[in-house]
Formats: sequence, C-alpha cells, structure tokens
Amino acid sequence: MNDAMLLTAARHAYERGRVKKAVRRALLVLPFTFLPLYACVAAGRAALMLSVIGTVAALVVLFHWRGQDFARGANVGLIAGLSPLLLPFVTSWIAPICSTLICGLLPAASIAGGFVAALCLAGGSLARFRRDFLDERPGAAFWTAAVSVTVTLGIAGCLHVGLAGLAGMALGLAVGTLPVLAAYAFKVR
Amino acid sequence: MTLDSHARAELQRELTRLADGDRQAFEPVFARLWPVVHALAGRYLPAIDVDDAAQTALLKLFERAAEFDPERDAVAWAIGIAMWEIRTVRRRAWRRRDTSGLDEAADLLLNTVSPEERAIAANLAAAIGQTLATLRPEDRDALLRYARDERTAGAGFRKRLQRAHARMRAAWRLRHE
Repeated sequence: MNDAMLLTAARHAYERGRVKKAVRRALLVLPFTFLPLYACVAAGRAALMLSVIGTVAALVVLFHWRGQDFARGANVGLIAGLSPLLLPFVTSWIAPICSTLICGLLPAASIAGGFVAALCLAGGSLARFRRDFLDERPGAAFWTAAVSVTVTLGIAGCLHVGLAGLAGMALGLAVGTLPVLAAYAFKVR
Repeated sequence: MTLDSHARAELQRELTRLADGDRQAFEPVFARLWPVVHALAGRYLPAIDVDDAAQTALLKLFERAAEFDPERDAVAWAIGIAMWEIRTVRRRAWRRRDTSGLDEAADLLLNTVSPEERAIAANLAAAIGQTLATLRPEDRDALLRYARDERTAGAGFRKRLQRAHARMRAAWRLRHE
C-alpha cells in the first residue's frame, strides 16, 4: 500500500471508528425511547412511534458521527429531551384513572416536560460552553443538533397523549425559551 | 524516531481536535504518527513484517481516534495502540515460524537417516520445540536467528543470545533432567 492509499484507508478507518462510537451512543439512548411505546401501541400509534424512535436513533448517530458542535448539541439535547420523553409517560402510570379525552393531566405533563426541556437546553448549553470555550457562544450547529434531538425525544414521549400532548410540549418549550431569550436580549442591549 | 516536546504538544492538540470530529486535523495527525508507528514496528519486527504491521497499527489507531481522551498523553496513547498491534503481528509470525521451522527440521532429518534415528530425531525435535515454547518470544527469536545464521552484528544481539542460551539450558534441565 503506498502513502496515498494508506491515507485513504486511514481516513476510512477514522470514519468507521466515528460511526461505531455514534452507534454505541445511540444504543445507550434507545432503551429510554422504547419506554412510552406500550402507551403508543395502546393509543394506536405504534407505527408512528417506531418511525420517531428511528428518527431519534438516526439523528444521534448522524450528529455524533459529525462531531464538534453537532455532537455537543446532541448531548445537551439528549439530556433536555428526557423530561418531555419521560414526564407524560410517568404521569400516565401514576394517574391510571385519567383518560386523554377527559383529563388534562397528560397534556399538562407534556407542557411541563417541554418547559423543563427548554430550561435544560439553555442551562446545558451555557454550562457546556462556559466550561469548554469560556465566552464563546453556541453556534447554529449546536442549536440545530440540540433542538432537533430534544424535539424528537419530546415527540416520542408525548405522542401517546395525542395532538394535545404535542401542542403542550411545543407550548412548554416556547414558554421555557422566553426567559432565556429575554436574558439574552438584555445582555445584548 | 522521537518527537520533541513541541511536536508532542502539537500532536496532543491535533489528536484532541480529531477526536472531537475536526477532519482538518486528520492529515497533520497522519503526517506525525506514520513515521512514529513505522519506526516502532521497525524496532520490534523483522524487516519483512514492518510495513504490513505498521500499516495495520496505523489503521487501528485511526479507527480508535474518536475515543481518544484529551486528558491522556497523545503519544503514549498512540504508542500503546501501535504496540498492541505490533505484538499481535509478532505473535502471529512466531506461531507461523515455530511450526514451519520444526516441520522443516523434521523433514530434513526424516530424509537422511535410518528409521530408528528418525524416531530419536523426531522426539528430540519435539522436545526442543516444547522447551522453546516455554521461553519468552525475544529469547526464542534470538535462538532461532542464531540457528538459522541470521544473527545481527553487535554486542546487543550477543548478550541477548547469551541470556537466551542460559534460559534455554535452565528450561531444558527443568523438563528433561
């Protein structure tokens, strides 16, 4: 193998290593996304839920394979996405008498999940960048990865609640983002 | 091949960037690591195995580059992975040579002597093979090179050979006396 061929082979080996690492990371997260699957099957949205789980896996692999800000954003997104993923699911277990048709508890849990996710996104990004890059602001790559992973995980968690759950999560995310945007605007001014 | 402190610091920085996913750091890391890995393989392997082993080690190194922990020393990390691969190649080559060497010796003996002498020679070859197998790879290497008249010049090889002889004698006594 001459040097040019070795360079190409080494590049392929590097990319292969990155994909393996990304897949390992996705495999760590996937079991959590399967938790609300039973509730989705009961609500008749199994196929949709499986495609959302597939999307979560694909996003995590893609962002971790790409690395840099994408991977950092995906990590923050994974932590932030846990609350909209798990809150409605846990609520559905502790409130068995509630049905999505007559009870506002699950949409409320979705709103809370979205709100906590927005705060986690803001806090996580701040902590991460303070620690690693001092005053450098998170870029578009970071936010793209963080928000898309959070939202996809949130969809996986709120899908069994229905449209009310998804709208609730979106509302929670928007409301949670407001204080961060206000603080940001205040700082810029 | 040694790296000075500046080159080590550069490699640390570039490998950290590469582990983070910065593809622009790929070529500088390649340019720094390839001579190091090649020299390392050259030091521990016979010339015929050096290129293959160095290439395999380098590919393995890049495959694991994403797992590099910036808290660790980049040179030590790279040498650790490369040495593991070199050791694997060496072990594989040894197994190959050990078997083929003994087979050749047995064939030679079988073709030239009487049946009784053949049986004695075959037993002796087996006993030598078993004793050799108990030695460390570097001792076996020295003894087989000496036997094949492939010894390298210099006091280093003489001393290695002397030590290997002493260990072989001790192992032989332990097993057969």
